[in-house]
Amino acid sequence: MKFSYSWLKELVDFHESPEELADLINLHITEVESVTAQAGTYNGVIVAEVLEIRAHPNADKLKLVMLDVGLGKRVEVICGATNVEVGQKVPLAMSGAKLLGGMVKKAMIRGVESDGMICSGQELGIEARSGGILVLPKTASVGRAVNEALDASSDAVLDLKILSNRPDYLSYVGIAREIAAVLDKAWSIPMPMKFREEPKLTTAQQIKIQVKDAQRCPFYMARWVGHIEVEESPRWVKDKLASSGIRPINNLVDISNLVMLELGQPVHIFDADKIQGQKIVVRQAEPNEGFLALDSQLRQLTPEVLVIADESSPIALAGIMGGERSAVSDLTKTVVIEVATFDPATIRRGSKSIGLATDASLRFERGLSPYLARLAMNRAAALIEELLPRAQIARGAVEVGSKPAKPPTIACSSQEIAGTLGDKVTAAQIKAILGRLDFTVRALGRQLKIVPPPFRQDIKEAADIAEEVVRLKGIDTIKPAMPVVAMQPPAVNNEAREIDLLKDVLVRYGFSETPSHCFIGQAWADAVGLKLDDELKLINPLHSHWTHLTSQLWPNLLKFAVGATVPLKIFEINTVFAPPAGKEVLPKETKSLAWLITGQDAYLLARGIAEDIVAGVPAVKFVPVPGSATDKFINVLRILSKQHVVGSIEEVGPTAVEQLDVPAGTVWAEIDLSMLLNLRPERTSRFRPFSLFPSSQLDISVELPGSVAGGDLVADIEESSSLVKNVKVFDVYELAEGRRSLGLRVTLQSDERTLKEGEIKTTESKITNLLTTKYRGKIRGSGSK
Amino acid sequence: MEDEIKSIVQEAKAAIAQSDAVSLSVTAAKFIGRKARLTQILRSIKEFSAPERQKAGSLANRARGEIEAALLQRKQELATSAQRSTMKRDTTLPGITPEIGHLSPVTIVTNQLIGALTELGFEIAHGPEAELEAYNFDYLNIMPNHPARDEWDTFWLRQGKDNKTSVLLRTHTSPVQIRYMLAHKPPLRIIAPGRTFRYEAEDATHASVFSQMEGLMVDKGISVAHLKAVIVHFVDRVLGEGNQVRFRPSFFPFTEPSFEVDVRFRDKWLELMGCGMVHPQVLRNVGIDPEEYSGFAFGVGIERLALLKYGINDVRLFLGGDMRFVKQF
Repeated sequence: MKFSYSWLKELVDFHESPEELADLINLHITEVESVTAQAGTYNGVIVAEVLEIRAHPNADKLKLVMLDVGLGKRVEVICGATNVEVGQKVPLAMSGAKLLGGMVKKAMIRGVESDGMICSGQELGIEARSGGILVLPKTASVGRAVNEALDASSDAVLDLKILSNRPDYLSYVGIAREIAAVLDKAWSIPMPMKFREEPKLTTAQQIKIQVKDAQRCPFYMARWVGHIEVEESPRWVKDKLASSGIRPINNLVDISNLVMLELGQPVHIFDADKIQGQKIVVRQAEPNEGFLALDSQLRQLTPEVLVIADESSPIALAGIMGGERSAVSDLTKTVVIEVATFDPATIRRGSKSIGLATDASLRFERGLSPYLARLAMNRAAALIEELLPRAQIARGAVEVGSKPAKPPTIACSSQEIAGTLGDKVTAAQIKAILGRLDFTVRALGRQLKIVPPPFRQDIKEAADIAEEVVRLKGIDTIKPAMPVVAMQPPAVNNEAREIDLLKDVLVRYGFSETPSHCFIGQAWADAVGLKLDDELKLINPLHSHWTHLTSQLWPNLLKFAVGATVPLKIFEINTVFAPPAGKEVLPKETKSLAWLITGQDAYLLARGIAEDIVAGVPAVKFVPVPGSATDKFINVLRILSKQHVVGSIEEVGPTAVEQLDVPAGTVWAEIDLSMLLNLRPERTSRFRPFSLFPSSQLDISVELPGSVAGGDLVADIEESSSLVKNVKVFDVYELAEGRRSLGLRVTLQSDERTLKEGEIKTTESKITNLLTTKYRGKIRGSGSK
Repeated sequence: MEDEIKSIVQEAKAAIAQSDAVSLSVTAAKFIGRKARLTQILRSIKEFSAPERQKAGSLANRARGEIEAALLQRKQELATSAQRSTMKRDTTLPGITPEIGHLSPVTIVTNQLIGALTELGFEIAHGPEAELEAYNFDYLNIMPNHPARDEWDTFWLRQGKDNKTSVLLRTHTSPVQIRYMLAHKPPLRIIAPGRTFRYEAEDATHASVFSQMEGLMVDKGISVAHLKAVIVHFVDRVLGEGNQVRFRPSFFPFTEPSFEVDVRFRDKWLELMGCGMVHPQVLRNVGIDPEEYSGFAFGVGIERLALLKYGINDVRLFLGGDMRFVKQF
C-alpha cells in the first residue's frame, strides 16, 4: 500500500526524512518496496513576478519577459507561452535548476540570451498535461523556493509490502502506531470521532437489519443519515485520497474511502431511498443470481458469495463491492452507512469465485475486528458532520452480531522469550516494548500475562510475542552465535553424491550442463514424435507449449540444438515424471540423465560415454533396434540389463534434421539414473596391477561384406587370444556395394614375459584366419610393431 | 715449417668461425682436403729425415686434428642455430584455452551451499517435486482461504477431493521439512536443495521453474541468535567474507518470528531469502512438542544467489541452454 510521507507526519510527530523513515520501517515494521518523491523535484525553481513583456526581435511567437526575482534583482527570459501576463507570479527555473527533463542552462534563442525558463505544471511534474505556464497564487513570495507556494510541497510516497497477517498495515493509523512505537512516542488515534446526533431521528426506525448467516457475518452495523447534499469533496480530502492512489468521486464516496485509508476498515454508503422495503439482509447469493456491480459489470453469482440485499435483490457484494442500483448519486438525499465484519475466508472465496479483488476485499480477507467497525462508523459520521454540515445523523447505530471475542491472554515467561531470541531480555523490557504497541501486560517476576489489543488478531502465542519484542528492540541487537550441539556426522545421501560424481565425469568429457524447463507442449511433442500423457497435464499451464510435465529429458535438450551453429556437447540431470503407479496419488518421479552431441564422431562419443557410465551394470548390452516408423530417429541403440531398459542412444534422422532444424548427425542419449544407481554397484576405482612387459601393436586392414557387425568382430578378436589386450577401430572406409574396410589396431601383451616374434606371428595369423573364414573378410594388409 | 703449420691452423680456425652451413664444406676442403697445404705437408713428410719426419708428422697431425675439431664444433653450432630458427615462434600471439565442460551456475552455487552446511553437520534430504497440497501448504500453517496463499502462485496437477489428494508442483522446498519431521525425531539438521515452481509469467526477474535450498534445524534451545550465525556463515561461504547481512521483520505462516535477509553486496542492499524460527504450530502439526524443542528454518533462492554472485541480469538464462551463457561458468 502507498503511504504519503506528509500524511504520516500529520499523525505522528517524527523528524526523520522520507529515506530515514523508510529505513526505520524496513528494519522494524515491514518491507519498503519503494520511496518516490511525489511530484517532481524543483531544485532551483523560484517564485518570480512578471514585470514587463516585450516582443522578441527575431521571432513572432516568442516573448521577452522581464521578471522580478527578489532582492532587487531582475532576470530576462524568453517565453513562448500565450498565457503569460504582467503581474503574474510564476515558477522560474534559473540556469542550473534541475527539472524532470534535465538541467536548465543559459541559452541563446534567435540571437537573444535567456537566463532561465518559466515552467509549466508539466515541467514541474505536478500536472499531466501543460496548458501554458503555471500561474502561482498571488500570495506566493517572490524569490522563495517554488515548493513553498505549491500545495504538493515535497511529499514522498512510501510503498509498503502488505503482510498477510497484518490488516492494520493497510491503514494510516496502523503504520502511524507502529512508527510511534518504534520511536517510543506516546500515541493515540488522532482523528476526531465525535459528532452530533439528530435527536428526532433514529436509525432503527429507518432501516431493519437481518443477518441470515452469523458465521459469515459476525458483526454488522448501520446508521441512517438524512439531508444529504452530494458534491465535490474539499481539496484536503481529494489530496489525501490522491496521495494514496484513490480517485476522488464525491464527498460521500470519498468519506468511505478516507475512513478505509485512515483506519483500515472498509465502509459502504448506500442511497437509503434505493433500499427496497427499508430492510437490509445479509445472506448467501442464490445460484445464478445476477448482480450489476459499481464497475458496471453484470455478474452471475454463486452461493460462495455473501451478499447484502434488500427485499428484492442484492445491493452489494459483501466485503467486495457495492452495486450500481443503490449507489450514491448526485440526487441522493438519505444514506445508510454500513460497517461490518465478515468472515475472512468467506470474502476470499467469494472474491476468488467471481475474480474480483478490491481494496475492501484485500482488508476483509486478512481478518478485521468488530472493534474497528465501531471506530470506523464513528469516524465516518464525524466526517459527514465536518463535510456535510447540514446532514442529519440519526440516533443510534443498528448493530447485529455477537460481542467481539475477547483477545486471548498469553501466559509466558521472559526466559521463554529470551530463549527464543538467544539474547538477554527482562520482563520489564518486554512489558515496555509491548506497551508501546498497545498490549496490556501484567508482569509477576519473570511470568508475563499478555493481552494483545483488539486489532492484533495475529497474536496468539509466545512466539508471536517474541517477534514483537525482537523487531521493536532491533533484530540487529541479537548477536549471532553458532548452536552448541552434540557432534553427529550427517547421513550420506547416496543419490546426491552419485549425481555429483556423474556431473563431474561429464564435465571432464567436455560436456556442459544445460538444465531445461520440465514442461513440454503438444507442438514440440509432435515434432519429436512423443506421446503426451494426460496424467502429467497441468490444470493451469502458463502457455500452450508448457502444458505437460516431461517424462524424459531429451526432448527439451534437443530444443537447445535447434538452429545451433556451434558443435554442442550438453547434458542435464534432473527429475522426470511418470503417471502415478497403482493407487498412488503423486506422479512417479525418477532421476534421469540425458546428453546430446553434434559434430564429428557424435555417435561414437555418445556411445562411449554411455559405455563408461553403465560400466558395472550386470549383463549390460547395447542392442540395436529399428528406428521409429517415422524415421525421426535412426541408429537406435537400447541399453539393456537383463529385462531392464536402462537407456537409449538415438540419432536424429535426415528428415527430422530438416523439420527440427538441428545439425545433421545430432545424437542424444538418455539413461534412467534411478534404475542405473539401483543396478550398478557403487562407482569406485580399484587399482589393477599392469603388465611391466612391452606390448606389440598389430595393425590389420580388412575388407568386409556389409552384413558384418563390427562390434561382434571386435569382441571375437578380443576373445581370440589371452594375449589380446584391446582392439581399436581406427578407420572405417566405405567401399562399393556396401562393403567396408576396417582398420583395426590390436594390442598384444603378456603379463609374464616379453612376447617373442613367433608368438606375435601366431596370434596374427589366428586373427587374420578368423577374419577371413568367419567374417569372409579380405585382408588388405597387416603388420606388427 | 713449424711456423707455417701454426699459421695454417690459425687461418683455418678464423675461416671456420666465419663459415656458414654452405661454405663450411668449402672451408673444410680448403684446409684439410686433398689439395690443402696441410695435406701436402703431410704427404711430403716421408721425404724428411727420420727425426724431422717424426716431429713434423706429429705437428701436422695435431694441426689436422685441431682443424677437424673446430670444423665439427662449428658444424654443431650451425645445426643448433638452424634448429633454433625453425623453432622460433611469435611469442606475442594469444594462447589457446582448451574447450572444457561447464557446470550450470545453479549447480555451482548449490554445491557451495551444500558444502557450507554439510560442514556444520547438516544432512541432505529430498522430497517430491510434484507434491501433495497438504505438505506444501496446510502442514506449513498456510491455511486454505488465507491470503498468505497468494504469496505462492501454484501450478496444479490434480484437484482432488481434499488436500491429501490434490497435487501441485511444490512452490518451495519447505514440504521437505514436513516430510522429514514426520519421519524423524529431533534433533534434526537438514538441507533440501531442489527444483521449485511458481505459476508466474516469466520475465528477466521472474522464473516459473527455479531452485531453492531449504534449511531446518530442530533441537533443544535453538534461537534466533543461532539462525543468524548459520545464515551469516553460509552467505560468507558463497559470496565471500565480510559482506554485511541484515535481518528485517517479515511474515511467513510457517515461521514466527519471521525475517527477510538482505546482504550488502557491491554497495547495494539486496534481498536474499526468508527465514525464521519454526512456527510452534508447524511443530505440533508434525508431532514435535514446541515446549521441548525449537528450531529455525530458511529457504534461499539459488538463482537469486547466483544472480547476485555473478551479476547475471536475466533469470531466464539459467534454463535457456544458451552456450554463450553456459560457457562463462
